[in-house]
Amino acid sequence: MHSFDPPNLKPLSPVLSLIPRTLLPWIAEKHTKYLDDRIHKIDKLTDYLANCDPVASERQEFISFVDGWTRRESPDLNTYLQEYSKRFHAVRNQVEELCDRVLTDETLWQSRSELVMFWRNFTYINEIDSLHGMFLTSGRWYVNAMLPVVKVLVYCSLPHEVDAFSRNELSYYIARRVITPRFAEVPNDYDHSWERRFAALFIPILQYYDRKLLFLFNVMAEISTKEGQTLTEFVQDVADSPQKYSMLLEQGIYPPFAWHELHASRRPRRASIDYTTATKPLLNKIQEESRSRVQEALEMLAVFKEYELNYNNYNYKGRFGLVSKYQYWQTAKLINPECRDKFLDAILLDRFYDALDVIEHTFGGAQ
Amino acid sequence: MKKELVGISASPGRAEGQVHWILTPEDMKSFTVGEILLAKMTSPDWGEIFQKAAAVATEQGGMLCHAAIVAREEGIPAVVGLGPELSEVKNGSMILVDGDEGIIKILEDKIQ
Repeated sequence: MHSFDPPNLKPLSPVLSLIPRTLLPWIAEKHTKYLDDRIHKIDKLTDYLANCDPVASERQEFISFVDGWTRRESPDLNTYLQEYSKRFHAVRNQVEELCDRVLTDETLWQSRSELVMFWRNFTYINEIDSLHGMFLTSGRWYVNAMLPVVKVLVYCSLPHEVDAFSRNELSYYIARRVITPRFAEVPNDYDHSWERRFAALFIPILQYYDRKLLFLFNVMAEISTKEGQTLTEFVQDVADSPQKYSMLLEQGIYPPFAWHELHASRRPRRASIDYTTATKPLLNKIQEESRSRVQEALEMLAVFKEYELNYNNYNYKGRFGLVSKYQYWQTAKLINPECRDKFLDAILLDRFYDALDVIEHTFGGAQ
Repeated sequence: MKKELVGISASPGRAEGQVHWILTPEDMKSFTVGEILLAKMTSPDWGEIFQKAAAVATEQGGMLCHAAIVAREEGIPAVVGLGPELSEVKNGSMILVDGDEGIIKILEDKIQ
């Protein structure tokens, strides 16, 4: 198998040295508010993501790409992952380039027409980036990049009594139901017992990866904080004593973005499940001739989870969370005061084209 | 309303309890240990709620969503992707969340 692992995240220390220290509490507060507010307006968020007109053709193309691979009876998962990986890296590279510009190009804040151009590009890339990173937020969108892999696992684990003719279609529906139920339309005679059967086999595998994904609980539990410490105090502590948090900062994780985990991590955790135990129930149910396909799909699952660990969870990881908020703050300063809240509200609700509208309305073609 | 709703098994086990919807940040403050968390979706900042909840049921999301991941980690039953019908289950109703079967059963409906 090719190596599809995403590149490691860059250390955050250089980023922190470029962002004004006085801005860090604002960034942390907005980040927390972003998490708090958006979940209570999930329907609006989902609708926007699924219907954002300026990227409609890109969305449809990506849906066709994933859905087409999911429908195939014997997909070459290696090729799928290769194609997906190319798309993913291309988008992420553009995001990283935009981050570089925000951090290092002072002229961006001096020319309003440049800033408008930048925001048009940023808004577009930001939406495309969301399309390509659909691993976790499965309830919010039509497809999920892991669908073809999960479908192979379903297909190979169905018992012999499911005939060859209906096996492919049934596997497709089950995969769609367990990963993207909101958008899964199933026939009237669809039997839910098949998906329950698969879920029981799949849950231990997910439990193995959940623990990797939630590794911050362990890390944050080791950080000593004062009783009743506020988010702002935590931000200041990270800025004052970066060496204390260097393990996280070097991995591209900004500790204040994991503020909620800090409080939830104080409880002892159960022992994690090992890989052999996790995969045994599924492997016990497959036929010998399917073993190599299942092994390949399980390896793919690992790769996708690595993508998730490194990038998609950018609530905490990578410099985008920090850099983008610096970008919003810098931009907000230049926007008419009466439009500033409207701009920030749009950003906080992921409605970037609405935010762009405020920018274009404010700056127009001004120099 | 229906006495049973079908969703997706996301975390195994069964638990009974009183429904507590979280639709606004204020709803989080009154959440007590042993209640059943109902939500459209959940968020990373709800960690402490998961530690109090006996089980979780959500309208949206599949086996890979946040609610599913955290429920598995906390070892509490979860059924996700129950759809908009879940909103008909009122606060205070007694329900059973069956994470093995991917269903919830309304044991005692609270009329509001």
